[in-house]
Amino acid sequence: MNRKIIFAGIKRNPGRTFEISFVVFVLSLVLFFGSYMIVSISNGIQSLSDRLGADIMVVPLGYESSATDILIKGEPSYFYFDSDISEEIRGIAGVEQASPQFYLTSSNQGCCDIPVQFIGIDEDTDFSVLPWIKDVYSKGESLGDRRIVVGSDIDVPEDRTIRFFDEYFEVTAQLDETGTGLDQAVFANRETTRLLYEAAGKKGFNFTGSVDVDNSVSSIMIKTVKGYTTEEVTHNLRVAFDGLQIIETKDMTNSLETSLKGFVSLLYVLVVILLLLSYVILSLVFRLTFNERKREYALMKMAGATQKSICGLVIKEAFIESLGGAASGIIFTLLIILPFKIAINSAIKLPYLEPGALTLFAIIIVVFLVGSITGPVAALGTAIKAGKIELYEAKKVS
Amino acid sequence: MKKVIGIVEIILGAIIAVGPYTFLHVCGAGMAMEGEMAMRPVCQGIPPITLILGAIILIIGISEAFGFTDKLLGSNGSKLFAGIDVVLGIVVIGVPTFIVGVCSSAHMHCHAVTRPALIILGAVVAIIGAVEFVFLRKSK
Repeated sequence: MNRKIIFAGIKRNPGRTFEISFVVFVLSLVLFFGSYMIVSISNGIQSLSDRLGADIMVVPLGYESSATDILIKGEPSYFYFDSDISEEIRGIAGVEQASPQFYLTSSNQGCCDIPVQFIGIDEDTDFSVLPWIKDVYSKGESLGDRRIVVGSDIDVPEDRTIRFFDEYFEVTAQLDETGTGLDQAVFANRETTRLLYEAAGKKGFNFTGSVDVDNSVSSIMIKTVKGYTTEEVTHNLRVAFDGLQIIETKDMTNSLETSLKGFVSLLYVLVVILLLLSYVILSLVFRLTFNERKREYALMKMAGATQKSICGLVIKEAFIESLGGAASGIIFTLLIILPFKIAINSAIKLPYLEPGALTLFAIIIVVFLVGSITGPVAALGTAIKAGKIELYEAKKVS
Repeated sequence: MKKVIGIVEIILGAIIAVGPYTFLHVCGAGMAMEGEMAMRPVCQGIPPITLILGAIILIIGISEAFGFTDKLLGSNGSKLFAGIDVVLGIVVIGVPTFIVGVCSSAHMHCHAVTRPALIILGAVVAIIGAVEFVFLRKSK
């Protein structure tokens, strides 16, 4: 009976139901989308920090932003310096491992116009790429003549063969998802990289200028010896070499974390404002409705309804309307964040790694609870007022 | 009810028809290598098909919203259009998936934006058609 009365009340005023549900819908959407983005970017930054493996990255002077753009935004680039430095760096105090990388870009991945970043790695010294192989497709060495390893976003055809610059390469393995630019990269050994470089030249892609592939590198990834701080090793490198850009990878992640903190603060402010606004709007709607429904509540009182049951009725009505708004807000957000995750990732140009199912479920539950209780909390004052309606008021309105 | 469904169908039909030519655009032609023709991406086949599908959904929406359906096709007209909406919705989903397809790279616009958007739009059209069909059958 009680349920019938609640739903009859909701049905009788669809306009009010829509207003309340819409306010909660907007609140749930902002809350869910914002929390999901924060968790995803935070996961991406953590993944970048874990995946790089290197404490220091050395690139030619003036190419710091190009190098970070490759890793963070997945924007392909190329730059070179003399490879002899790589041997000399190994002799610097505090350097445990140093692995050179050679960058190339493509304008075509078999279709359309998305450029791909090629990263030529030294298999003997690499410590930042091959440890992250997730799926192995062929037996034997991952990298070899015409054998490549691809990032998680690269589509691997069934025959495991990809064509670049009219040359065919066998995909031997795919890396785990990182949420960074490395997901869109193709990794090869120096021989295969040289082949790619020559093939690009033959096809008229002379974007690399005249570079001596055998004696050039684009970056050197450095791991420091335990006991040495990154600052100490950076200082040693600066003393020994001139004309090199030395990037401390923790600075890269720190600056990303600072941007994320700004985003988080903005979201908190937005959520607080939205919560207050929702409370004010919903309270007003309930108060206005109370005046319209005075007669209804009075009649209930006359029919023997208690203060508690009328109060409960108003709260339950508000709860059901909020429930609808919260559920639709969550579903709408899911329809944006799940199918368009790659578009969002490309648009924000920050490391972005979606949370796992459990975290996603936890966010949904919290948003659902906050959304669902907003209406009842805003309706509390009106509910108490409705419950306290006096019989003489009932007579006055009847 | 029919008026609301008709208006929603007009909006969806317009987005499906015009979207792939504008904000849901597909990919441009790839760069040409020396002595070769530029590669034509598979996704370029999507807009002409969705233009036709969207136009049909839009016409059905206009007919429903302005009450032409019953006048032209009698009492079963709306049921017929609801059934057609279900089929059209499934075809819209099929265009970027199993009928035409999109570029293989996950970061291409057709793969990251056009495909999910058409799948969602197609699903909404099909669900609206199915709900309307069931509703009309029950109300008889």
